[in-house]
Amino acid sequence: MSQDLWNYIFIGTSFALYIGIAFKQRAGSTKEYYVAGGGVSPFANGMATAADWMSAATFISMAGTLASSGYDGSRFLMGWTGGFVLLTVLMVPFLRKFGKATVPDFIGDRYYSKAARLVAIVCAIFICLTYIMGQMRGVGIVFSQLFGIGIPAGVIIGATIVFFYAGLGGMKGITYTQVAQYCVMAFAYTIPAIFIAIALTGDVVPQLGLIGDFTKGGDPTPFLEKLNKINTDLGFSKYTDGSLSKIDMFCITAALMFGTAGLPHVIVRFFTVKNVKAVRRSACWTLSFIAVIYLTAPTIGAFARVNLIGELHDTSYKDAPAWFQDFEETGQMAWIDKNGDGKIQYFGPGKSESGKDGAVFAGKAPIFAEGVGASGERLLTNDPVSASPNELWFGKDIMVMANPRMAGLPKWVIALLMAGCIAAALSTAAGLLLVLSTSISHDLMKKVVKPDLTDKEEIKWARLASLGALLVAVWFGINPPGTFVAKTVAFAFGLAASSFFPALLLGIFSKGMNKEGAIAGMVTGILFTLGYIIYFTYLGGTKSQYLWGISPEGIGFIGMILNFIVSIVVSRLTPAPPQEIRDLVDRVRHP
Amino acid sequence: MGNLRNGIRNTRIWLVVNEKGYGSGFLSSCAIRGLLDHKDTKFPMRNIQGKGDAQDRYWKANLQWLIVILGTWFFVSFGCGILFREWLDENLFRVGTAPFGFWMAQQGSIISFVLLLIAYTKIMNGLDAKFKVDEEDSK
Repeated sequence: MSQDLWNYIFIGTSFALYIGIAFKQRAGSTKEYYVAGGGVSPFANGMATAADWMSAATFISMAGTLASSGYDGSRFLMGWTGGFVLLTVLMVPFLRKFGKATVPDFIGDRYYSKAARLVAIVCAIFICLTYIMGQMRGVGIVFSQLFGIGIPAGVIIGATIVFFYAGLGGMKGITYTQVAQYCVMAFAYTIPAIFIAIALTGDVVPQLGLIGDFTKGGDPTPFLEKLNKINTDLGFSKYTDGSLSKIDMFCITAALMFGTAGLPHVIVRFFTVKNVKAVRRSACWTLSFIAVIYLTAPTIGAFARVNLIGELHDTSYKDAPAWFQDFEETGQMAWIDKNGDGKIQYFGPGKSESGKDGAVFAGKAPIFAEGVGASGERLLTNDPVSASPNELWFGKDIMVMANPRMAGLPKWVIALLMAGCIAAALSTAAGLLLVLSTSISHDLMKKVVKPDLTDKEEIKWARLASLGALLVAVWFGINPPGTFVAKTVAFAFGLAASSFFPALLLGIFSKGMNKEGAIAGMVTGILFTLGYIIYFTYLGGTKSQYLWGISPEGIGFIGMILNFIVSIVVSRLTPAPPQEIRDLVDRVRHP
Repeated sequence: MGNLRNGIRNTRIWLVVNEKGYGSGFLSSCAIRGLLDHKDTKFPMRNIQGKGDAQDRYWKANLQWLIVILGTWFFVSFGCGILFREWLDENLFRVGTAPFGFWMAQQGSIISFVLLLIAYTKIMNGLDAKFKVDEEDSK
């Protein structure tokens, strides 16, 4: 059977399943629409939250980031899972006790102010929109590769499917669809890894590959030593060392963690279970399900790196395996023969201290020229970086997809991966879409604009809002504003950390926090972080100007600390919050 | 329903406070409380009624456990995975064939997080039962 046929079978079946579930579980009331009627079991909710949590970016590019940057990639592993711990112990049980369905609702009531509610609505919409754009783009790319159509058509197909089951099914439909999607994702991620683990390490459990021995051909050597050996000369950092400075690593990890703890679309998931006890159990399940995939990712990254180096390093271009030419054809791998020996050299990332950063060429992505080079490779117009002997460039997004091909796995495994990738993108997009539509219909329309809205009208507004949000997402999915989308998705965490996290935390743990403090803090935090990001991303700031060597990715952590300081100082200088609010906090603290 | 119950409880406390003549003390505490957060355990009205007292002890126990859990959280991720990674890589035992610090950063911290959440659930559900603040199953 051909690859295409396998793809159609796997993706077609999974789609039929999702839409079938959504139709069967469609929402009838606002309560079912927003929180699935509040009666989902902790186990099912855990699975659905895990699917919601893992976006297309995590699913596709995390293993690739680990493969290309080794230890540095740990910031995503620790940042996202560690953030989930914070979310669970500091936020969710209390917000759940508060009993309202959304984060702006909490901020608006806790800080007794329409202004605070509006700031929170704007932040929630901004965070969700940037996120959903990335998802739609991801869906579009997979569809376009699948059916050989353009990315715009792919984005539109994806958006139609999401609208159908998120807009019609509401939270109830989404929750049960996401359970199915998690299963598809878990299989799609681990099955190829099991095959590769057997081939490379002789071990069936892929999660153990990282701490095992490499046994393929010859004596067993420790897996990580094999990865380290190749780049210890020439000033390259070891796979287990990475190249980021300690303070930058610390700040980026922290920004990801605290940002994760403020993500509105994950917090809302915990409103779908019965009580606080069930919330805690559900969070345990969610993190366990996430861990299944996150523990596999470092191994997949390491496997991919070994395969890549084993198959390509010091191999002449003419003898390179067929998949290399295929990926070069689609622009996801590129090679510049810097030393003119006709062989591919790849060592890995450089050490920042040694002044080498391992870049193959100037610029982020290859720009291909017409014609071919001496060995038949596609020529690039990018300037080669002569200080670095690396000659091979690969897009981080392809590692998960390329891995089974590098290892020569059967076609159905690749089709399963495609289905998994689409499941990851759709589940996150649907969850985000729901939060967006809730923010508009419930927080904005019902609470601010038109308080006498009936249940039925509210759902109508929610569906209209999700259609509107989807149209915006489709537009940006088709016309991404430069590197804007990809960057803001990463920065969204920093912005969430510097705005939402302190306001939520202080709202629960400090009864003296008042609206003046919270608003001043949120505004300071988000302006500082946004300003730093804009200066270094768009206004030509250079690395030497970094504040204490912290990159824009990690500045959200400093923004968050600023937010805390400003909030506390301002709240001590302005009148204390009224008694009702302190009673409200008391109520939130005790179930 | 829960809101109403709490509302009634709070009104009751308020009445008790006024009867016992703590009203003015209460108001001044209100002003001070902006400066001294979390010190509300010393708040007189709290100790008048057994229930308020139990609530305070519940919240205090809650905070103490949170500090322990977040301390562990910081230690396994930022501590082992970032701050002391090199030292741990060189000086501590290996996990399988992987250096300890590196392994903590890539897999160990995640495993610790899962265990931590399971412990948290057990502890908090235990606390809820001990202080009899279990939420009823219906909303």
